[in-house]
Amino acid sequence: MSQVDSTVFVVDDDPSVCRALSRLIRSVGLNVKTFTSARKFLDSCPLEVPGCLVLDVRMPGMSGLEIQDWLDEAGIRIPIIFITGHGNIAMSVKAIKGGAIDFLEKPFDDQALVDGVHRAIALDTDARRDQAEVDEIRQRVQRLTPRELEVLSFVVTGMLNKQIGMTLGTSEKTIKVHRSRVMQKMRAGSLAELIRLADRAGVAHPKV
Amino acid sequence: MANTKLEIANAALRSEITERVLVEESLRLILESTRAIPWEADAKTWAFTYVGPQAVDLLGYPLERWLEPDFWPTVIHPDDRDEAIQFCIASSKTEMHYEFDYRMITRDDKVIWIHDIVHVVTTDGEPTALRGFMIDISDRKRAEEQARRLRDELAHVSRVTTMGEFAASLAHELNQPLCGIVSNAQAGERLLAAGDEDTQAIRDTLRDIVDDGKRAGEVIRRLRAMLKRTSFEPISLDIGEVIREVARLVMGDALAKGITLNLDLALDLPKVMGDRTQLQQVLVNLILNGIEAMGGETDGSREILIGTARHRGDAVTIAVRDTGLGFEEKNVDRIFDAFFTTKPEGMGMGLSINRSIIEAHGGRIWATLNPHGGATVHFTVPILKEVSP
Repeated sequence: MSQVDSTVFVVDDDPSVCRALSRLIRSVGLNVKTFTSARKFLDSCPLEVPGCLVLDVRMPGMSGLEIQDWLDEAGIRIPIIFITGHGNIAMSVKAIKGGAIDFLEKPFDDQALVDGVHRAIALDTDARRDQAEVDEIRQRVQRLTPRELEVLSFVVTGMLNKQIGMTLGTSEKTIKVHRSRVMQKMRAGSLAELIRLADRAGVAHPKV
Repeated sequence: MANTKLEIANAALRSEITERVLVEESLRLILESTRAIPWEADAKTWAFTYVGPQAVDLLGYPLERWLEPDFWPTVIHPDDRDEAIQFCIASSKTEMHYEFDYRMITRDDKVIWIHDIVHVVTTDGEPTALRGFMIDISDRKRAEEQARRLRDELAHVSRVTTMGEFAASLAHELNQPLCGIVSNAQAGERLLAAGDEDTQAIRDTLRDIVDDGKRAGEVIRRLRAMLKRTSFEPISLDIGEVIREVARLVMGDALAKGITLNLDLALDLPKVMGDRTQLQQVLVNLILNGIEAMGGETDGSREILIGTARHRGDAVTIAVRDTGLGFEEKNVDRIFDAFFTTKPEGMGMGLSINRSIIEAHGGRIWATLNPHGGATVHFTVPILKEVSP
């Protein structure tokens, strides 16, 4: 996923600032969409598209920090750069603690914004790739039968087939068969790889 | 026998004359010893026919000069002359008694303030004579002038301190256009560096830079107007426009505190007579109070509403309403007193300065509690009256 597919979303109640930032971001070859209110931004459901947010902190209605909280609660992880016409330390600390990439005071140097946007898009691209990988691994887990899932959760703790058989009340041989199918379905080449995949998929520890 | 009757009658007459002379003497003593200087004048020529001797000390002219024709208009201060004369002409036609103030110039060119009390004497419905008293009120006028100067100075000090509390708004308001200017210019540089042939984009960028520069200039101009030391100068104002300018000024600060500022301005309000800076000062102060009153709340809507309406045909009412803590009912009249405050760090001057400004405009200011929480401060400003010929 290249940066070319990403979009920078700018939310600032001042139309002049929106126009200026739109020109700036387009001049470095990125897509940009501007909104003059939080409401307009959220209503446009832009979050299917990879990208990042450039948010003004103070706006009538929902402020930039409130958008950050809203996205956080909705479980949406899009990187944010804050810009402000008048900020204080408390505001910037809250923004950074909330996960913002950067906090710039107006008027800011164009390079600072462009650098921040590049960083943010790279982060977002990586995050989406990671998420896609995890989703794919989870799909593999979905294909396991309940019994196979159980066996998987014991295998990754390092227990021997014999021990697993005793715990689950079946023969070592049956366990071996399950184990083989698990390795196949999970497309794991080794125990170590299986453990890593199970970890990434968030497979729960066995109930003993 | 006839002689005795004559003598008795003569004696009675002499006694009466003596008594009258005595009464006349005491009346004259009273008239000619008080600070109220008696006078009488011809209603047509306005020449004095009698003036009390105190008049000599008043202006420094001998009594004979007072009785010359056209004396009175020549000793009136030139700036007051036309108005005083017009007032007399008009009043003598319609009133029996009237009083007015004007300035006179003494023989050694000093200015004094006179309060003139006039009674019109008519014969057959026509004014034939004017009688009255002149009183020197220079001391009182000087004291009033001093009080007005002090009030204007106090308003100025209060205005400057208040504007300091709006640093957040001003920084925000200036940084917006500055951001536009810098970002646009840097975008323009990049466009040129990219060798783009599209000059329209660059022209648009430059246009936006100019507009933003002007916008920043406006903010500075408004700030300077608020900070200027001025004396009370009423002019014809559109109150809606005055309020909108204040709203732009304080919007940033209100936003920073999560407070919405709304305007509900009546259409087609007549123009008012007011001092722009001082009225804006009152509005800024009331809005600041409202913002502070809502400081502690986290739930419910936090809104300041400014509304205007016609008031009884001769004034406009402006109301600033908040949804804050309100004030205690028992304090409703005290809140405008100087130094009254319920805030621990408050000085209690804001509302009393507001009251003095509004009263100088000839208006009223009062406060009410809102039924659903918070308080509203109302004040009136008289509308511009057409000057009648």
